[in-house]
This record gives sequence, structure tokens and C-alpha cells, in this order.
Amino acid sequence: MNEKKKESRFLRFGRERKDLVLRKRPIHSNTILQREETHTQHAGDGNRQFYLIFIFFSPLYKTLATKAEQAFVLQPSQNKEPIQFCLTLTRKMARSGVVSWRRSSERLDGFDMGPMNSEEAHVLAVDDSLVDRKVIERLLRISSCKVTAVDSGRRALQFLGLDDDKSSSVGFDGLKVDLIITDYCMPGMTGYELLKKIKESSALKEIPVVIMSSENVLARIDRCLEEGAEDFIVKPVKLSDVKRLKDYMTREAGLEESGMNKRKLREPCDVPSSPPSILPSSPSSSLSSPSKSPSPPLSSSFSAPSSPTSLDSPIRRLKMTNTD
Amino acid sequence: MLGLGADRLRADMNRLLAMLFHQGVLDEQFLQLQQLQDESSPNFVSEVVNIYFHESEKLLRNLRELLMDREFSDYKKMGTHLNQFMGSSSSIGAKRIRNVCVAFRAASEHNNRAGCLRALEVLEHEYCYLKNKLHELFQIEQQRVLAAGVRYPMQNN
Repeated sequence: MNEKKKESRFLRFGRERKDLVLRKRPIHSNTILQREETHTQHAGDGNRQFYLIFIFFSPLYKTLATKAEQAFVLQPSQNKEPIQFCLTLTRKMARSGVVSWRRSSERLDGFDMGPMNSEEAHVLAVDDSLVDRKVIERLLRISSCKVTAVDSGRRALQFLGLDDDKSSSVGFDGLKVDLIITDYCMPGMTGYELLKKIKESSALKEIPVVIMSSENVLARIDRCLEEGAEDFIVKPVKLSDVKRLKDYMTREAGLEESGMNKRKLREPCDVPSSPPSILPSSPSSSLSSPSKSPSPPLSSSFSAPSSPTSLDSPIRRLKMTNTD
Repeated sequence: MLGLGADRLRADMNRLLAMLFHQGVLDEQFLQLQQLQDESSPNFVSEVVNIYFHESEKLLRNLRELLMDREFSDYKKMGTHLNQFMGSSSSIGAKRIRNVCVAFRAASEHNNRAGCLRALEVLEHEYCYLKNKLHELFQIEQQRVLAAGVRYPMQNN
């Protein structure tokens, strides 16, 4: 009877501790020892898991995980960075259920190891044309962003808390804005003037600003990029443009907190990974390097696999309009 | 029979769209708009196009008033209207209209009033054509949706 009781206990134990015992073992007294051994083995893992958990909870994870996913999906051969690889591996393992995080010491039951549940990015869209506002709003919503659309630069500054009337140095925006996308040609305040005002404000200058224009004027593009615009999109705006913008937002959020990322992301600099959407265009580096060197977040935008499109796009559009 | 009707209507729609593309009236941006339409926003294209029509009619009226004025000289204001029209047309995918606007703008930059008047007439003509065709397209779409939604008792099993 005692043995039967023992056996049943082991069976229960085996079912609970599937993470420790991954293969079937004959149920006899040796298993206690084996389990203790595996338990001590996993004690070391516990520390590593703890560190990993620490990373998971930090915003760093979001960026690294996205990077890991990008790297893994798009350029598997380059995925040799140990921490990226580790993260990719743990995410894959967690998804496939091999690793169960059920340990009594660490309460991880509520932890979602699936795709990162990041908050939706909030984009402020500025355009005087109602048609364009509707289109950009829909493009952004379909890309899982919260959108606020306003019809003028003045309204945009009001929303951001940079009113002319109340000179508040602390810019209050009720909802934090992750990206500002604005038309260039607007009555009253142009997109360029809005860009300047934003970059002059200490509270708001970190927010990436993207300029849209129906005119493909190189001087205009250069001027905006020099003023600190993140990118310049030639209208009409497409879904692929918005997808690229999403990269800015997640990357920006991560970069502010990790200098390590900056170094890593600068590595695959000028090599476009030939995504299918790019037309064979002139090398982007000649245009990109002079205007993009000042700010690190911009230079980092070279390196993620989808980023060469951001620099190629003014040129791609230029090429397309030249052949029209 | 109506089940077949839905397919026929879809074929009609595709034929009309293909013709408009072939003529250069519409371009790929219109397709992009259609891609943005889904269950959560089932009338997106028609909503945007109707806003476009509304705005365009205002702009065309303004342009005509400006040019009809005998003492007209404010080419700059005309240029502003034109830019707006051009921008919204390209956002819709109205390629031919946009191209006419480009020619119109060139005439206005040269202060060529006669050229502007001619361009305005072409613009109005193109706009009417586009409006009729798109209305037709939306009508077929509506009918198709209705036809596809009808079920016969036997089909429910």
C-alpha cells in the first residue's frame, strides 16, 4: 500500500513538474534522487530565468524581442547575437509550450509569453485636406495605432500643449504622442514650421516627426530632414509607408533606453536586404549619410531589415516620377 | 438565380474597374483604398470618395468663379485651390484628374488665362466622367452585397 501511495505521489509529482521531467521514467524510488538532481540543475536556470524575466518586464525586451523577431524572420543567418538568439529561443520555446514557467517561487502564471502585448502607438496626424485625413487615419488604424487627426498646425500645437497663448514649458499631452505625421503644404502654419516648433520645444523634440508632401522637391526634403524630420513621404501615402513608420516608433522607444542597441543596430549599415517592395534604385547611402549623420536614432534606422526602404523611398519616388 | 447574380455583378464590377484602370482614369492608389476596406470599415471607399466629390465640387466652383471674373489676376489663389485638388485626387487614385491639374497649374504659372480656362473645362469634364463611373461602381457593389446576402432555404442545409 505504501508503495502504491508513493507511486501515486510520484505520478502527481511527475505531472506537475513536467518542465523538469521531459521524458518518461519508470516509477521507482530512484526517481526521487533524479528529480532532486534535476531540481538542483534547474536552480541555476532559475537565476537565468529570473534575469530573463527581468528583461522581459523591461521596455528593453520589447525592442530586443522585436529585433530578435525581425532578425530571425528576415535574416536568420545574421541572428548570431547571443542575447537576441536567447530571446528568440525562449520566445519560441514559450510559444510551443516546452518551457512551463510554473514555479512556486516565481509567480509567472499571469505572464503572457506570447506576442508582446505592447500598448498601441499614438499618432498625431496633421493635414488640412479632409480626404487625406480620412485616408491616413484609416491607414494608421489598420496598422494598430491610435490616431488623432487635426486639420492645422495650430490645432496640433494645441493638442500637444504648446499653445502660443499659454506658454507652458511643460507640454501636456493628455495621451502621449509617439509619432507626428504632418502635411507640408498647409494654410497658416506649414508642416515645416510645425516641425521647427516641435523640435524647438524641449518637451516634444523627442517625438519623431514625419513630413508628407505631394511635391517631390529634393530641396524641400533636404530642408525637412536637416530640421530633424524622421522621414519624408511623398503622397499618396500607402500601407507600406505606414508600416515603415511603425518601425520608427518601436525602435525609438527602445533606443532611448539602451545604448547597446545603438551599437548593434549600426552594424549592417548600408546593405539593403532586398525586400521585395523596393524597386532597384540608386544607392541610398549617398543621399542618406550627409543629412542623417547628426542624430543617432536616425542612423540606427539604417540597420533594421526594413529600414533601407525609409531612405530609398524619396529616391524611389523620385525615380518613379522621373519615369512618369 | 440571385446567387449567380452576385457573381455576375462582381464580374461587372471588375470589368468596370479594369476599364477605368486601362483608360488611366484610376491608378493603384484606388486599389490601396479598397485594401483598407474590411468588415470593421465596410464603406470606407465610398465614404472617402463621397468626401472627395464634395470637396472637389467646391474647388471646381471656386476655380470657375475666379476665372470668370473679368478682372481676374490672383493666380496664386488659383494655385492653392489647384494644389488642394491635386492632392486629394492623388490620394483617391484619380490619375487623369491629377494630370489635368498639373497642366492647369503650368498654365496658371505662366499667367495664361486662356490656357487656364481650357484646362478648367477639361477638368470639369474629367470630373463628371469619374463621378459617373464611380457612382456606377458603388451601385454595382451595393447590389452585389445584397445579392450575396440572399439565401434560399435549400442552401441553408
